[in-house]
Amino acid sequence: MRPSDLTFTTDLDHNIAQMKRIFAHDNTFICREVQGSGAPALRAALFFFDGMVESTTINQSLVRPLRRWARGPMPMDAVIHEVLEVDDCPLDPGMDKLFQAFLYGDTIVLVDGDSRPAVVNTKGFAKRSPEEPDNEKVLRGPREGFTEAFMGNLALIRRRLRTPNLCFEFMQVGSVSDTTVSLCYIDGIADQTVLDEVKRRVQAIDLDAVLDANYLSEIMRDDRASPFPTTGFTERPDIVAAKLLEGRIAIVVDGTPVVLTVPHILQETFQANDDYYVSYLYTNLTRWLRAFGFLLTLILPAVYVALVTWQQEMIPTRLLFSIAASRQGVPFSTFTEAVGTLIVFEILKEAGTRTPDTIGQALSIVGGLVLGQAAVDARFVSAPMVIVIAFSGVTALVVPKLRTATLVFRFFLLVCAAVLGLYGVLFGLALILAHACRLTSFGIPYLTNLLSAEKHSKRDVLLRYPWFAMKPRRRFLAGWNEVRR
Amino acid sequence: MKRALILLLPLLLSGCTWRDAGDLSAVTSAAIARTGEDYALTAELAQPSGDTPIPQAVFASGSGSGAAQAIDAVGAGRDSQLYWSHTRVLLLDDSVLSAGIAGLTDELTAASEVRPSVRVCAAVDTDAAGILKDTASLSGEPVGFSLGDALEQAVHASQSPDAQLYRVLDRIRTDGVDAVLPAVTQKDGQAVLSGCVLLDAAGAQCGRLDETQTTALCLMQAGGEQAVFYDTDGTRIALSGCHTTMTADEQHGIVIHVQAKAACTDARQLHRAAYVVRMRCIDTVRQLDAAGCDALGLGRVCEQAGLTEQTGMPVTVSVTLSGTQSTEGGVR
Repeated sequence: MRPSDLTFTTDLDHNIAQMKRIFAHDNTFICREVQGSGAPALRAALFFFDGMVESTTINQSLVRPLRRWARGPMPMDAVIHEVLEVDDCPLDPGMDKLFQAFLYGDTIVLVDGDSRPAVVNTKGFAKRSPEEPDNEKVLRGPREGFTEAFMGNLALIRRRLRTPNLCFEFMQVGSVSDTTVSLCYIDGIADQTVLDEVKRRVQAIDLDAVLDANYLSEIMRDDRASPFPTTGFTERPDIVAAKLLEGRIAIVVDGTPVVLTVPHILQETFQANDDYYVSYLYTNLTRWLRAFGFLLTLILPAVYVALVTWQQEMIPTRLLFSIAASRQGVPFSTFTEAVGTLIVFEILKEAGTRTPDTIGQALSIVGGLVLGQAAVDARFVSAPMVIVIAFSGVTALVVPKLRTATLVFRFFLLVCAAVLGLYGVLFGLALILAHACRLTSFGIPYLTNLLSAEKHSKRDVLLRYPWFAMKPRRRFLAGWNEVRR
Repeated sequence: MKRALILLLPLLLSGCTWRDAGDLSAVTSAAIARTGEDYALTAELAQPSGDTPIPQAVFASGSGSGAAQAIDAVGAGRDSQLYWSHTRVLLLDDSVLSAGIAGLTDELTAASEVRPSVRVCAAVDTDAAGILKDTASLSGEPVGFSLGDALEQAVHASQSPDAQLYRVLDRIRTDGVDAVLPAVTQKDGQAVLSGCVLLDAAGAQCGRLDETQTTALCLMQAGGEQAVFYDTDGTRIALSGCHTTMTADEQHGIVIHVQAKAACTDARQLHRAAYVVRMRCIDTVRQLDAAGCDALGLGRVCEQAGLTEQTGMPVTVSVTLSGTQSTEGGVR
């Protein structure tokens, strides 16, 4: 029997028996019967889940007033108004909503002689305090991060955007998990077409459970096979607020600190969290370094393989001999060596990520230094290859949002380089560029602003203009959603 | 699937073979001589050593009726492929120079992997292969390396003409300026520069210049930025910021005007320096004229000035020096 099929009667004992039958196998289910002090006494039953509720609220706002009630039985609406000391207590909201709230930490109240249940907001499960996200640290700026608490996350956004135009639209996804998802946007800034498309895609999701924002991202994004991210992820409320101001739509998923932002375009991947909190001069320098780092991490192993195997004439003579000397005794071809070293590097990185901090550090040292040196000494790999792969790996860290793209395209370019040399690298880069050109995110071209001829849309792309230069028109995603003044 | 195949096919069809840097025997320098009608080629190969970053020099020889055949003969039977792209120096023997190098430069440019920027020089007073084999470089590197570096430095300092293969070929075939090759000889077990060898319009040796004349020639050719001359009493005249122009008209004939900065202490010394430089230049022009080598392109200058009568056109050298305390930095 499903809870939503349940029908309450005026007989409290019967209702209690029904509830106990439904949750017979759930040991966290608690049924608390309370009786007033009058004659005849008011009889009531409270249903809630252990660990999901605030005990103090139940004891002080529900149990104590009910037990002290010296008068006789009353209908449920009167109990709400005269007995219970609660602020939020809808009467008979319908079985679906009732159980949705109940399963989410609210308490059902039933009284003898009335079939209408009331649901009291008593949510009180354990939650983290808003801390700075480990993978989105900033040098300067707000240190708050989202937590797993849904309402708390919405409050963190609301606190930054005190405008009546800020909208939160709730939707339910997941046939089993029945996860609440909130679409956040600023009315008047967000594009209605994009908003409608986002709603359509969220409603079309057909999953048993949605436990994280990535569940939605993988289903909703435009080109699902592309290594480029076409939905943005963040754990920072200030970032979400900034993106809402730019006309984007945030999707907050209950139970995860990760918030999706759409549409997501390429320029966002090169923007750091604190780009807007430090000097624009510093920001511009580091933004270019990030772009350069991304290019380096993509092409460095490929260019090395191309030069060493195909275009040796482009290597300075002494460097060529140094490379040739270091390759003496290495049994693998340069391409095999590069692929092998890259795989080992990725394994070490993955192991470092999955292990606790203290062991992870030791692992990095053992893996990076000891293993690398031993491999060179044993002539498994050449020293220049270790340098190239290590440098390529380090530069990849400057653009964490393009981690997947980096990994995939690095191997792709490596194969191109091994087969066609530098021509292959150029061929591969052209293919990647062509792929990026045809990508869209919720209908918005992925290279928007990078290729746009619109002057104002370039004020926060390759360079971040200072705030006083961006003031006449607030920075925005594209010309289609300028801020109305 | 179709897209993947379209991508994969050109990659596979383009030939998945390559040569690793470690599998190559790079040639750092080569000596070319003639034995009868054949070319004899001795190549210095840099053999990488795992223990030291400095490669060891080994030698391979071969001969053939043409330069390309000689190159193939050197590589025949070796377990690694000869790699000519990093060759720094080509040493030409007397026997090659006397027969003319026009055909050789053509063949080297068209039918070999030798880079057009390789420096060509002439071995004088000794066997070209002997210079490679019997010379010890101070750094322990193959001789090709040290000789290549020395030639680059010398070109910068106006001690040697800039004779890269493409330039030599250009001068022999089209340029209107006769080619000049730096001369290298062996002295006390070292390869040293010894002036230059003059080639005629057909690319055959027609004379030589000593070190001082070579410096004057480089100065007049606007080869290097710096130059050093010595007065008869041994006083060193260091020039910097050298700039040379050449004009021709019917009234003044051909005028070579040299401008430079010279380190000096007073005006008298400056005048003396200008005089010395001018005399060296005049001496060199006379030597070129005597050898029949138009290394300064005087004929071309006349033609550009619209003068058809070139024979007997007087050549005037004008030297303008401006004094400076030190051409090599600092205050003397």
